[in-house]
Amino acid sequence: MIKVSLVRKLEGVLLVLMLFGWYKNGILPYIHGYHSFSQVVLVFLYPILGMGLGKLFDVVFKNKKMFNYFFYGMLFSLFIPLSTPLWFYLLFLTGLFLFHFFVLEKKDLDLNFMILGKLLLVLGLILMENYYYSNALEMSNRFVYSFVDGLVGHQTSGLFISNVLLVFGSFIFLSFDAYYKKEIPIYSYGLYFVSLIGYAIYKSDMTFFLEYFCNSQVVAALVFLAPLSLFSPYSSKRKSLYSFLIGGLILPLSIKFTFHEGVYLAILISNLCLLFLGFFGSNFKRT
Amino acid sequence: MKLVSIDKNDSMHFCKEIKSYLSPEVVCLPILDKLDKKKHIKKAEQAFGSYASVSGSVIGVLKSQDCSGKKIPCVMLKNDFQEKTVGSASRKKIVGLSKEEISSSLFTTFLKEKLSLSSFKTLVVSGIDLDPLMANETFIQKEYLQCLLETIDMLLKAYSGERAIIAISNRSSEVISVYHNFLGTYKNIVLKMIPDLYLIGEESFLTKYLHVRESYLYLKTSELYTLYYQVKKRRMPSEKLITISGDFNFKIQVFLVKLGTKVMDLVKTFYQTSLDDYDIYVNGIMQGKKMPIEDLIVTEDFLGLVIMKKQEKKIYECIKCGKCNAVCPIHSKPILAYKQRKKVPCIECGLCSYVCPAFIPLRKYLSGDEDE
Repeated sequence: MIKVSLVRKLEGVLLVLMLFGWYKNGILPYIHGYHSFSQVVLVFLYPILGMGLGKLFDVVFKNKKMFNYFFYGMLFSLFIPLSTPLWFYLLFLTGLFLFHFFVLEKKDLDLNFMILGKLLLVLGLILMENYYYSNALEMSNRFVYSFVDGLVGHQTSGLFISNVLLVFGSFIFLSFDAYYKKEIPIYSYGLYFVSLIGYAIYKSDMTFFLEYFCNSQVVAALVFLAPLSLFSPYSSKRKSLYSFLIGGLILPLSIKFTFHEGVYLAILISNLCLLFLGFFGSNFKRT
Repeated sequence: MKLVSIDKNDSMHFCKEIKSYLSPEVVCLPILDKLDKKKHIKKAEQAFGSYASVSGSVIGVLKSQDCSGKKIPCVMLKNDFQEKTVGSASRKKIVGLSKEEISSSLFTTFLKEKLSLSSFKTLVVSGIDLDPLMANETFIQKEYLQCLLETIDMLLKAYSGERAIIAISNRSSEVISVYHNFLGTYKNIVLKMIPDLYLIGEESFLTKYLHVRESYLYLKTSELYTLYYQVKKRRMPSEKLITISGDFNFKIQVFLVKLGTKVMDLVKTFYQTSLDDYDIYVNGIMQGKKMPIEDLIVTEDFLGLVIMKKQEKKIYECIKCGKCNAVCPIHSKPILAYKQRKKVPCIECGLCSYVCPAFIPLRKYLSGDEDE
């Protein structure tokens, strides 16, 4: 039996998500006449160029890690808003990789630079007054999407992560890998789910619950970004603490800021808390 | 207690018969005493501090290698195939011997120490091969079961033991069927089938699994057979079972060889393949060491060879998955040993290296070795 590494499995599921995202944000609006063919190509250029940039960094810096820049370039492209200009995306990604290599790597800091990068990118887009997640089809409001539509990808979300069922399927597939930290998405989503029910009951608004319990940003971030091996704890107790911290912070941060970014803020804050408390595996002075 | 099972390669199969290599041209006898060159030695005669497994004449002195990789001075005996043995005749019966008679018959220190206790309630016998690619314990039971049962009976009577538990793997169907032919006659010997978990045959894990709380004596079947041989035949064993296995031929073959046999002679006799494209692990794939075998000789603690095709495995940086910590049976922290080059408690089971997705040879770092 051929053993496939976790990184290869992740790349496989990300590719599937990319294909759907390309269909949803590129091909579908083109079919309905909402943008030109060049837009179709443009959508897929983000991950291609991201991977290319990552590969270049791997070659130049002789990076021999399992989770290399090629993988990070692929992963990062999934979560960016549709409004991200290509030039800004490439420039930002370059800066992010340089920051990771020259600062975080040298200091051996397990800061989740994917999450930090995503949030800083969003900040940049907000400053440029060019921040939105909807594609042209969604902005037209011509279609009324039901809950089931939302599950199969018809919701505003990151570039390639709108299909909750695909993300869930990816999680099931990855769970069979012994090295995937599946407890993190399970515990964090579990607490998020409970807090969402509690909040909906408190507000007597069950539609709120229905709208957000299958939020693709939350689901995708918890499945792919929160359990990233290098940036998450490895002992059972610390994984539980990390997960419950994320799960407990998602709802308040999402309500305070926006549901598009709340989960990333929650992951970043949890990451920073555990980093400074020395609970990460990388801080080997603390046993 | 957390133990894991090791993935078995289903294309590897056990050979049914033991092959013998009992007529080596030369054997190498480790020197512990003063050397007397050109001395003529008889089989089982104690010479130079250790016992000769063949009779013959000393033809030279050389440095051989034991299974830890250490070079040991040895004397080379040219086998005259006369098989002259010294020492007393075998005992007809061993059941009924007293503790003192048993102890006085023993030659090996570790057995004398083990049997120095006054009594025990339970005799725990492990018939489980620790390494997934070794089969010595399995074949000892298949070939010498009556001897083992007789020895257990002797020990129970001599040390006022109440019962004996023989632990065997629940995958060893041939061994189970062999036991069923004999066990009915021994009322206080119980056969326990144990799940196929790595290290479960080790004393601490086995006694915990069997819930043995009272005073006990633990012996492996190989140790039990050595005990039998010394008490019954009143001399040191001159042969032992070793295993040669690996993906070079996908077979697990057990050999009966003379102590002191040069391993390379054995390999050349039975296997015509060149071993240049293979890595050779001495004493198992999990706990063994990779080393050249040109000077390796069969000693008391030699278990066998695992011959595997050379694989270029790229070693990555640690991805902090924590699996090494999770599988460690003694709750040690291999990840610390690797990152901080710190020595941590280790039983050298090899599980951390086995599970590491980055192929880091963690066992080396735990034992305090420097970087490769």
